[in-house]
Amino acid sequence: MNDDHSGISRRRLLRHAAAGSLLLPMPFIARRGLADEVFRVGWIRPTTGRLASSFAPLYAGGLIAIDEINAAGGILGRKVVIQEEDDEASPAKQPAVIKRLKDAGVSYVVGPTGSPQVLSSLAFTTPAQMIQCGIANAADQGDAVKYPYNYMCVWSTEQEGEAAAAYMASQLKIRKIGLLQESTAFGEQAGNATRRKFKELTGQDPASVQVYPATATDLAPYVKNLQAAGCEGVIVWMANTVHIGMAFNAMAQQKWLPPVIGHVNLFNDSLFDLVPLDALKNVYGVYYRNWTYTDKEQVPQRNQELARKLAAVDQAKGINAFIAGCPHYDFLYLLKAAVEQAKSTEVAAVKKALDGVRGYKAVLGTINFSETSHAGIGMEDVTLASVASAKDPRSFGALRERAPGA
Amino acid sequence: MYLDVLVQALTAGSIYALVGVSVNVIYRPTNTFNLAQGNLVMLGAILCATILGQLKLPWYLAAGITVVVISGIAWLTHLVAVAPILSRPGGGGHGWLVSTLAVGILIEDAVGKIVGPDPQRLPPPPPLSTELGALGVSSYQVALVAGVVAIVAALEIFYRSRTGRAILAIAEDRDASLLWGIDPTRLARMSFVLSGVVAALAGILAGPVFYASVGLGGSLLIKGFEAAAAGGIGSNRGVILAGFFIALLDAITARALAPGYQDAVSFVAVLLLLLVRPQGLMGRTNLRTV
Repeated sequence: MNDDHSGISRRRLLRHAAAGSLLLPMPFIARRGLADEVFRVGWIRPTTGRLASSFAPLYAGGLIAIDEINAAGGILGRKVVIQEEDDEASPAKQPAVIKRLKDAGVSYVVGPTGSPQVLSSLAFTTPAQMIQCGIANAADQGDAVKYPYNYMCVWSTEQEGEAAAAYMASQLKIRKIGLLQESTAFGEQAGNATRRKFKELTGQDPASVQVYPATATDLAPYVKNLQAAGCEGVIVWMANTVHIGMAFNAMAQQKWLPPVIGHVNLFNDSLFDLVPLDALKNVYGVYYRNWTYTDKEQVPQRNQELARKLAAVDQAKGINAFIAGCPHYDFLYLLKAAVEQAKSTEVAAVKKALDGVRGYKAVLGTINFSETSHAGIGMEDVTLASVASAKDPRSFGALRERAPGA
Repeated sequence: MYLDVLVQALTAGSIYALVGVSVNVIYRPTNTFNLAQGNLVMLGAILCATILGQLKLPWYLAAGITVVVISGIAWLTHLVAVAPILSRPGGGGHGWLVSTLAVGILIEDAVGKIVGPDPQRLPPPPPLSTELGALGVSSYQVALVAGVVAIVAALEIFYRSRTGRAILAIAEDRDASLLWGIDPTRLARMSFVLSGVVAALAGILAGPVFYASVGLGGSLLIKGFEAAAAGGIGSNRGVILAGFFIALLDAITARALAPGYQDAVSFVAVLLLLLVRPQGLMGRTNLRTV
């Protein structure tokens, strides 16, 4: 058979295809060469959908860190750039988002936000060996055996629950506590941790546990049940500001204002527009020690500087404390330290350096990782702060006054 | 002891009833449901709170502007998402389910982006207050119940007018009403505007009790549909009765059983009611001779 004729024979087609397959990667190689001049970080957040505007400010700390790192020469001399991917805050979108980042050669990922979203993305970043830090507080996400490439630079929900129970039992000496929690994974995890710790410290169970659905339009009946059970203190695990407002207003209307401890979003400034200030005087939120001050102890200088920068972010207004508790600022600095220690951007070398982090002084506390645990924050960095102290001039931005004795 | 249960039932029931009535107003001439109705209620509350908070306008002026804007959006919803579907041969099937749902998602996303997730306080109209008085009832709660009854009464009077009767005629028999020279499209448009007015009022009145927040629409729409189904689709008096009944059941469940069972108990009760009376408390069975 003669294949020198001008038509396309099967053999010629295969020859062209083979040559083409050798040539095809060339533009990618060329592009890769250009990409090597920067350090790319995948940036997963919703840029469309209902949660886009509320999640956007949560990444402010990360963007500040990138500006600072780039101003100081970048990572190994490379400028840090983000490759943003829109996940619409949906767990279902995570596989496609991770695939796009992986195809683009990105190995380091910031985001997504929310435990379901992070869990969904971990199912793909883990086998793809992509180093990740999202906003999620479920304790098992710090299990390095299960998720060896995920690094948790925030407290876990269990730690939050334990801190609240310990303060109620050991500092306030209250024995009849009530739990008011939302019917979500967060409410259940925090509530269980609170009950466990309170039982361990006092040998007692809560006097009343009230669980309300996320669709509840009135929390007064739940609050009445807590009061009727004779609770002397209440621990609230609620993430929705509408429900928080309803609960405190119900307490105010019933003229029943026991000490209350709850989640970090109690520091949301909009609460002061919804609830009379008197109802918030005896209320404390779980918070990072580094963001709190006392009469004798100041907030670390680095935190004060970051608080000023966060306060200048328009979208962060009113939720500075919540944003200050996000992990991205610390994670990016940790990543820089690990890459520079490894003198390489290869994932295996960087992971080895991250796993060896001990006593790293971050803005959220002292971070320790190991090959088996990536839950970086210890209980010594988790404290309680006064919600009403937001009105104190010393509490600019994210700063709050530490609860007495905490 | 049971006064607070009654007060709670009347307060929440009034809002549920008003949302249910806004659903009814559209159903009568069009046989459609506007799935964006909950979002219009939410937008009413947020818009009024924003006007009061940002522009510092007097309460009643803010409420008036809100009613005009929301009824305009309801008119637009009919123009864009409902009328083109209903004008197709055979009535366009149930395409309005998707199109009105899309409008609802658009409204919710836009509000989420512009206003953000934080709830806003919507004060009651002066000189009313949400502070509980000696009997455990606030002046706002009393006015709310009276106001909702007055709104429903006004609607009933409207349906006795020439235009109102034309709307009822369409609901009864669309084809026959055409023979009488009634323009169903014009009256459907008018009903959407009217439902926008009721939705805006529901949002404005719900705000001081439930706060103005993006999540308000979804929860109230479920209760509103529940009230509309239990009261009898098309019957405003039935809806107001069912709204109070559902809220009373919620309050009794919370007191006697546990607050967490409220939704389950009220849904079971509505289902049982519909099994016994498929047409609802005050709805009419449709008999047609063929």
